[in-house]
Amino acid sequence: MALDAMNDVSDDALMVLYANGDTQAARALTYRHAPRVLALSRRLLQNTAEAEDVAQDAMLRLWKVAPNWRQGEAKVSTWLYRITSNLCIDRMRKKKGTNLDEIPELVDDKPSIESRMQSNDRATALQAAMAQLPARQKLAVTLRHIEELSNPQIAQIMDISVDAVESLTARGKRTLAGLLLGQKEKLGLE
Amino acid sequence: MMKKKPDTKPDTDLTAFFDAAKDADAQPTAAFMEAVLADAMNQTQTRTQSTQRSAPTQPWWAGLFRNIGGWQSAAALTASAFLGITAGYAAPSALDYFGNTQTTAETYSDDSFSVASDIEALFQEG
Repeated sequence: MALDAMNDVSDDALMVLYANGDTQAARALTYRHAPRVLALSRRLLQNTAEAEDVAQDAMLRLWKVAPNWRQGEAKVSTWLYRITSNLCIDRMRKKKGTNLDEIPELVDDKPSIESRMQSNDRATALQAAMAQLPARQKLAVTLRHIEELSNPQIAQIMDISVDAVESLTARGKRTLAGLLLGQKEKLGLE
Repeated sequence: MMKKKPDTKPDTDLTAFFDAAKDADAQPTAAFMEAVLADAMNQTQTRTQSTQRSAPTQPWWAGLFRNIGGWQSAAALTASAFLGITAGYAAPSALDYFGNTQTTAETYSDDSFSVASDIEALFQEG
């Protein structure tokens, strides 16, 4: 089956196909989920090499669980976000605080125009501010405001209540606001 | 008069930063995607090999043996078949037991069913 033909196939069905040895199903699952898993781990770890390592590990766990995947119990995306979050939090806790100077600037390969530069500066500023947050606040804010997941989805991923998610994101945003709003003028926001 | 607490809107205020972070999403490299796919293929291969190792090909009779219910059922079936064949080939003299019994015809002679004679006897006895 061609990869395009897999676009309408559900994740659950792709898992069954992959477990039965269908390589196109593996390809479809990879293209559907690996970029999102990598983006989340890159945001949380702020290091591309480490993020790729974690994302590959999360995807490997998906391949391993495929033959025992229980259809309808959990969404593949939610399951992957949960695994990725846990792997990232483990690494973040091991690192115990990152020096702000170590945070790499986001590099954009596209032609640099003023607005792109400003956008890059804002993203870098946010990244630096996010590094100040405790691991779980950082995860909750990332899932809510960058990955744009709903609070119940985040609660499922983090294995906490919706109230706890709201509390984590509120505290995280308060800290971020304190760190970032003073830089608004510098970043072309006023 | 109480001063109204300033209404902070961190969502709105931080939106530009979150949008910038979304824009900054770099696409995964081809090498990364290939590595993920290679893991998927390796897992499939590993699974196939372990399945082959754990399930060696069995002779046809092993499946039949399992289907009839194991060794107990097979033993009972063999014993029954043996007895049946023995009974079929055995000399009739071995079946004398049946020769000494009354046949159905003898057991139920005409007299046994003769109701009229019984009634006649009843009248004679009064």
